[in-house]
Amino acid sequence: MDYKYIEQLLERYWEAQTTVEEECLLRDFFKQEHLPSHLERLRPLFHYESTAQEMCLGDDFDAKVLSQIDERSVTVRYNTIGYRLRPFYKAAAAVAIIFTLGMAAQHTFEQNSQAEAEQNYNYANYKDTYTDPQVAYEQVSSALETISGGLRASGMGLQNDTTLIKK
Amino acid sequence: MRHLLLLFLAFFLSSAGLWADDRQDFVAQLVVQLQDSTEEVQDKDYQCITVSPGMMEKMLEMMQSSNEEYFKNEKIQKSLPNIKSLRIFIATQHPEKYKQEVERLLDKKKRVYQPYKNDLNDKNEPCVWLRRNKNKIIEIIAMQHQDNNEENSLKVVDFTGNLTHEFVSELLKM
Amino acid sequence: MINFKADVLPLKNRLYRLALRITLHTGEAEDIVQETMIKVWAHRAELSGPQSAEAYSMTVCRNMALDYLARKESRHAALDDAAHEQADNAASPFQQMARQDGLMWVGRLFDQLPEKQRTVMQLRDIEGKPYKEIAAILGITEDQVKVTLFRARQRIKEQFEKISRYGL
Repeated sequence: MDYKYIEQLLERYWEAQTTVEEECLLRDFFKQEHLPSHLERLRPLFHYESTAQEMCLGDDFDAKVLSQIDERSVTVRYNTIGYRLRPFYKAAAAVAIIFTLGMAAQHTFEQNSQAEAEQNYNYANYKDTYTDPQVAYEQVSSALETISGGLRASGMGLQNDTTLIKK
Repeated sequence: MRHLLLLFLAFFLSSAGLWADDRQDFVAQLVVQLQDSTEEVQDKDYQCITVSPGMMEKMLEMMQSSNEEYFKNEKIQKSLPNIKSLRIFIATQHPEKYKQEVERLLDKKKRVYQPYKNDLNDKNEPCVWLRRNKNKIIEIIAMQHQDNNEENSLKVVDFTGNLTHEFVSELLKM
Repeated sequence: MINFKADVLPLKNRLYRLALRITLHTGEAEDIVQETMIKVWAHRAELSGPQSAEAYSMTVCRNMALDYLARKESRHAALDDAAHEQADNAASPFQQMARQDGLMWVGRLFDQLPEKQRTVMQLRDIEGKPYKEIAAILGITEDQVKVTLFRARQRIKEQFEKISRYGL
């Protein structure tokens, strides 16, 4: 049987290069009954590691610690009215915030409904393409004409459209 | 608890329309979307004409005294002062790609921009969308994809202002 | 949210083994586990979930065990040398356990390692914890864990070679 793989693993184990899975493999390998003598000497190490995993507390531990927890949960330290009302303070704060936000939102809604378009668009950011109103006017007219002509052509116009014959 | 409060805050802020995104008109958002797009988008492919409220005011006189049929319409004349801004997006290269981008943004913002319903229109694909605030129309988007021998382009016209249904139907009538 | 019975109580045995490895004293180790659980439970609001409860518990446990060692050191300083010797030669619980399997001397090897090395050996070789967790419990980097583990294992290897050369 070829123990080369195990020997390689062992080398890496001493160098702290092995993974958790590889270390598990080593421990399992050393559980076998028959091992070559040069590896047999290491059995105690891995056997010890496997056994040490099983070290446990007694059965009475759970009861002991649970009784301690119960005691400490009902701590008398902060049992004042202020402390007991804390959850209500938090809830009150939350309600106050939501109420304020709601009022603010309502106010903004109302503002918007009466508002000029200024409220809705950030006109300060508009950069004119043409600085000369005349040039702007000509370009805009031509663009508008094409588009309304186009919309007409695509059938968006109303049926009693008499200007169809234009141009 | 903290997360719940933050959630409420976000909800109220968004419903109060305080997200910066919605304070831009459609074309501005489209340009941002194109610039953020990972696909190669050539600047030369498209052009964006912007007319700010200030420029609009200067043009108003010209439009009011214009001889163009377009501007001579009484109802249009009435609406002119209420137009605050105008943006025109024109894509002369790969218009189909840009049409898709427009549709993508419209889909993303479908709660904001609704297709304009015109009873007499029997076409399936709407070309006009409106943005309302309560009962006022604050933005009109009109998209036209022209594909013929002369040209193949996509145009999107974007008005903002205190607009009315009348204006929209007149616009389409023209 | 942490539940005591589901998230804290099940840690008892590995906390015990850790405390035992450091203090080498069963009674003390058991007390430390109890104190650790009480402290962890008192701070449960700061914990994000069961995983952080384990890491936190192990850290608290180790620190309490180290405190015990420090107190013992100062107590030792007061004792005269004879009592010192006696205390050191007493078999640790691990050794006592190992005695049954004829492995007492292996236990002794482990227990004689410096505290940091034997803690790392306990957490890695016996509890099977990854470097990341060990580093968190000891408050050191993963590299430092690896170095400590390397030193511990090399020491044990030397001892084993010595023993095999000269026989048990």
